[in-house]
Amino acid sequence: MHWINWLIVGVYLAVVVVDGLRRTRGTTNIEGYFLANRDLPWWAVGLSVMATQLSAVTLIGTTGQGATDGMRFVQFYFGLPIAMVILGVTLVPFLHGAKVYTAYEYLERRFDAKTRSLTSLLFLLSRGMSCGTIIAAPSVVLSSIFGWDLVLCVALIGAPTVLYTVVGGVQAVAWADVKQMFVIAFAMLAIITILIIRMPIPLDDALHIAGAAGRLQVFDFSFDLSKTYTFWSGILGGTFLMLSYFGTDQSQVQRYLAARSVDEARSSLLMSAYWKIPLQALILLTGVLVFLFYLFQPPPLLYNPTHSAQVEQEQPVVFADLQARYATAIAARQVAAREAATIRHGGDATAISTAVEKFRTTEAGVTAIRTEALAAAEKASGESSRDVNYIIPRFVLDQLPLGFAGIFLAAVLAAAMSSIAAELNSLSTATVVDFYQRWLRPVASDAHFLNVSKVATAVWGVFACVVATYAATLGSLIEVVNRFGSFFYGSILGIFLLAMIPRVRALGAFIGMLCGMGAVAAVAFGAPEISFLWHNLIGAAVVVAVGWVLSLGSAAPTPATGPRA
Amino acid sequence: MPRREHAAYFPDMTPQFRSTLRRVLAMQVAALALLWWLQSHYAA
Repeated sequence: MHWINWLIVGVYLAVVVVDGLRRTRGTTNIEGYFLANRDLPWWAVGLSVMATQLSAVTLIGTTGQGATDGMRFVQFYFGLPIAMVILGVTLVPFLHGAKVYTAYEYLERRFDAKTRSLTSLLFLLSRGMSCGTIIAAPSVVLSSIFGWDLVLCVALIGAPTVLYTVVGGVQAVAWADVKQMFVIAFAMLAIITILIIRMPIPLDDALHIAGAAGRLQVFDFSFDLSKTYTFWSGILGGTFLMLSYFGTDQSQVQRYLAARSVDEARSSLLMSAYWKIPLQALILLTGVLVFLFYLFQPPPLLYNPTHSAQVEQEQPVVFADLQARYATAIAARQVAAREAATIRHGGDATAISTAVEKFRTTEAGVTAIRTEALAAAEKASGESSRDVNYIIPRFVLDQLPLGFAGIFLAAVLAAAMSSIAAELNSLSTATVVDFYQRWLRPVASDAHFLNVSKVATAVWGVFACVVATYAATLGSLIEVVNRFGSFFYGSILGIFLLAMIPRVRALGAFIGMLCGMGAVAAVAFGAPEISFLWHNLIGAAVVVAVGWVLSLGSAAPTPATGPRA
Repeated sequence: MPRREHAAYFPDMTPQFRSTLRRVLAMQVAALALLWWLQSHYAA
C-alpha cells in the first residue's frame, strides 16, 4: 500500500488516541469513568450507539454480502425501529430513572441479587468472548490481504483501542465513536461516488442488470421458519433481537445511561430508528455496485489472496484450468451484460427477455466456476474458503485511486475500534459494579474504584486480544460460546419484561429465566432448521409466561422495588 | 393494568415525543417504499 494511504491511517489513529487520552481530565470517580457523569448530549450518544453496533464485520461482511447475495439482508433490520420505539417508552425511562450503572443492577432492585448476578455473569461470558471475535474478524482479513502476521494485525486494532478506553473511559469511547462514525460514513460515500463515476454504462441500465441478477430483491414474504432473512423474521424475530440487544446488553445500555435525561436517552435511540435501515441499505447497495463494477472488469477468481496462492501452489494444473475457464466465462458474462443493458433502449420485449436470460446463464456459469475454486481452496487450506469478507478490501486496494485505500482502512479500523471500546467499557462496568463492588468491596474511596475500573478494562482488553490471536485455533470454542450466548439473549429480555409487570416476584422470574434458556436450547438442538432470529422471541415468551404464571396470586411489589426505586 | 398504574410505568409520553414517533414512522414507511420501488422497478 502506498505511503500516503498509511499516512491517512496513521493520522486517524493518532487523532483518536490523543483525543481519547485528553478525555481523562476531570474524571475522579466511576460515575465519570463509566457514565460521563450522565452528561453526554443525545446526538453524541446516538452516534455512539450506531458506531457500537456497526462493527468491522458489518462494514466488510455486509458489503460483501450485498455483492454476492443482494439486498435481502436489510430485512434483518426491519424490527429495529419498532424495538427502539418500544424501548423509548418502556426500558429507557426505567433504567435511566433508576440511576443505575448497569442494566443488571436494576434487576436486584426489582427482584434479587441472584437474578442480577446471573444475568451479569451471562453478559460477561458471552461478550468477553465475542469481543475477541470482533477483533479477530478484521485482523484475519488484514493479515491475509497484506500478508502480515495475525498478532501484528490484532495489535494494530487492539492496542490503541485498549489504550484510549483504559485511560479515557466512556468519555473517550463515546467521542471516539462520534469521529469514527463520520470516518465510516465518509468512506462509504466516497466508495459509492467512485463506483458510480467509474461504471462503464449508465447507472439506470446497470441497476436493471442487478435486478436481473436478483441482487435488488429485498422483500421475501414467505413465512418459512428455516429461512433466516424474511420480512416476518425481520419484523417479529428482529424486533425481539433488537429489544434484547439495545434493551438489555450492557454495551448498548451504558451508552444511553450516559445521556443527560430520559428524553435525550430516547432521542439517541431514535437516531438509530431513523437511520439504521437507510444506512444498511446503502452498505448493501455498495456491495451491489461492486458486483456491477466487476461485470465490466475482470474480478479475482478467489478474493482471499492467501487461499489463491495456496491453490496455485498445491494444485497448479487445477488452478490454471480454473483461471482459463473463469476468464472465458467472465468475458461471456461481460458481453451478455452489455447486450442486456443496450437492448433495453430499442429492443422488443422478446429480445429483452432473451438478452436477460442469456445474462443469467452466463452469470450462473461464473458462479459455478467460483464454487469449484472455493472447493479447491477449502481443500488446499484446510479451512473455510468463504471469501465474502474479502470482496470489498480487494476491490478498494486493487481498483480505487490513491488515498481511498487509506480512508477505507481507517474506516475498517474505526468500525472495529468503536465496537471493541464499547464492549471493553461495558465489560469493565459489569465486573466492577455487579461483582467487585457488590460482593467483594462495597465501600472504598472513589480513587480506589476508579483504579480498579481501569485495571478491569485493561484485563478485559488483553483477554480479548489473546482470544483474537488464537481465533483460528479457538474457532470451535468461540462458536460454542456464541451459540450458548444466543440461548439466553431472549431470556434476559424476558426478565426485563417481567420487571415491568408489577405482580411478578423474584422466584418466579428466576425460574422463568432458567426455563426460557432451556426452551431455546431445546429448540436450537431439537429443531436446528428454525432460524436463530426466532430464538429470542421464543426465549422471551417462555420467560414471561413462566414467570407470570408462577407469580399468580402474589401481592404487588412495594413501591421500593418498583421501577422508580 | 389500571390506568393510573399504567401511567406510572409508561411515563412521559409528551406531545414532543409523540411527534418524534410520527416522524420515525414516516421515515420508515418512506424507506420501505423506496426499497419496494427499487425491487419492483428494476426487476427483470
